[in-house]
Amino acid sequence: VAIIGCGTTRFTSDPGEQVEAVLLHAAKNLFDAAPNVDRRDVDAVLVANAGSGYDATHDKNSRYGGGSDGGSNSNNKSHHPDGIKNKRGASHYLAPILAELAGIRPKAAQTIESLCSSGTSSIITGYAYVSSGLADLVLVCGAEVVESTGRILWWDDSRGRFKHPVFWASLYTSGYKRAHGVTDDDLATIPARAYAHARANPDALCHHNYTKHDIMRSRQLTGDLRLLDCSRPCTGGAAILLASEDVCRKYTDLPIWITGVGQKTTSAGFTKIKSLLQVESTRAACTDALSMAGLSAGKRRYNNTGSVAEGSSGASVDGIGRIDVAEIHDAFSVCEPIIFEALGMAEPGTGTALSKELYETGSRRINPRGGLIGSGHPLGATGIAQTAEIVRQLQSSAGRRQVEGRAETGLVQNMSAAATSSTVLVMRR
Amino acid sequence: VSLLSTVFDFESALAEGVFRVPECTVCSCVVWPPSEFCSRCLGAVSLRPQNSREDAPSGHIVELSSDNTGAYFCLAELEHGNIRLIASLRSDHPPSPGDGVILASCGIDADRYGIACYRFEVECTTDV
Repeated sequence: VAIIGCGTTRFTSDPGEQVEAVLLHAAKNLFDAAPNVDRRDVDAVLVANAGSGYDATHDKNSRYGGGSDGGSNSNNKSHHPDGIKNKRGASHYLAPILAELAGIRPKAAQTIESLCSSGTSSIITGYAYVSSGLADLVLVCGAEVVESTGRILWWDDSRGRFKHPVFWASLYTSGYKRAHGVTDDDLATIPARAYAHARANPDALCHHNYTKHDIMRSRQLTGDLRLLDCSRPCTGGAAILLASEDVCRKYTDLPIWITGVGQKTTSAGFTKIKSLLQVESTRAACTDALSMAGLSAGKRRYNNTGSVAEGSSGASVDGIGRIDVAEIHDAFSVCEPIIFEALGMAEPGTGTALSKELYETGSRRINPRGGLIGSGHPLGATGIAQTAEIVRQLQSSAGRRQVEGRAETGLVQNMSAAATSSTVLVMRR
Repeated sequence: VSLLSTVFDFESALAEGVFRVPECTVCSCVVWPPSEFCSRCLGAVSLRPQNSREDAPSGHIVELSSDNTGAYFCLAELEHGNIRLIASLRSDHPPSPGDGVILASCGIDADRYGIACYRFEVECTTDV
């Protein structure tokens, strides 16, 4: 399965956008950049969205007879957790709406929701459509609006009143710092690098040059998290076009191949996670993706400059060390080191050392577009925007963000709900 | 018959400040979060009565942090690790992972969209 085109929108914090319009904007940018594609050839339209316009308070009340009219908010208009005045109600039937707006009459059109990993979940669904022969050309488009309530999993009552993601992130941070002797100053290199990279990304939410000093002095949200440690919800869209091997050369001379996919869900609720020091879902998804890509788990690791170093055996050239550029889900600073460790890019407890070296060397091999912290986190669009970035890097078309050297193989790691689910994609040019 | 009777009963008890542990009527395991059927054997679930404060679940802190006012919150394991909750935490001394806690209070916060809320207290230790 190949990726033959991509399009992204600016990520903004402007309120009042309609998710349908954001989806169309991303799709238009894709088709503008892929003039060879005839939209009549698109067999399936898949939309990723985590909850735009959806009012969770209504659903909470409806458990005891509040009705299920899709979010008309007659009895909750002043109670929304984010202060949303959701006059339009929930956004439903987004994929058929996008298809109609974009002039596509596909065989299949459906919306996929998996919170923060809705984007890559949609890509894997599209991958399945193409690889099964059900479709030759699949448009995968994700979008979110800044008012989305998708960031909070209301079902998870075991979080009590600590439902906002900053609380699980605080617990991860606290545990990681204690277990590995890591300091806030160590962790601050992660957002500092993210904000620096985002300045070269015209679509990024943040173009401010926040330094480590700024990060350390930013508003304390909890005892273990500062404002600038956090990705921020925003409005944004991203789209990619998947094509079968049979047809992709009709449209492009430089397809990017998805060579490995992996997914793992360990639970839905945060409190079911067994260890706060590792991301089991990412580890499992990465193992499967690398195996499928023919890059079995190997002995090589990134060294502290972000390039490949020989492992203890010095024999294997397989595994994660073959990855030239990666987009990982740095929703909060602490996510980066524990994801490095889950992917096998760093040994347990050494993830921040890798982050620090990437920061000091200015390497763009990890999160060249600025990650979620620098780019913003429009939930349904995030995984697709990450994938679009790897496509551009592998096509050597990322401009000022282009990684050093020639990138042949890339990786996307996207996760949801405190890392209870993860998706990993391996791609090559 | 409501399809949500166990969850409804759990939340009704919670609203009265009572935490009733959900248990499978077939395999006897604790079912958390409360559900109509056991995730292990799909047997029906019932709620264990809690008659007094002495019956309140207890356990230990797994990890903790503090909110922007400096008040502690923590992830704690109760019922031999079968129930994990995030809750506010009251302690007379700086708490640490591993400290014993008791579920001191619980309820439904009507001002916060009807969400469940819990509060732990670090268990007192007696100096010998």
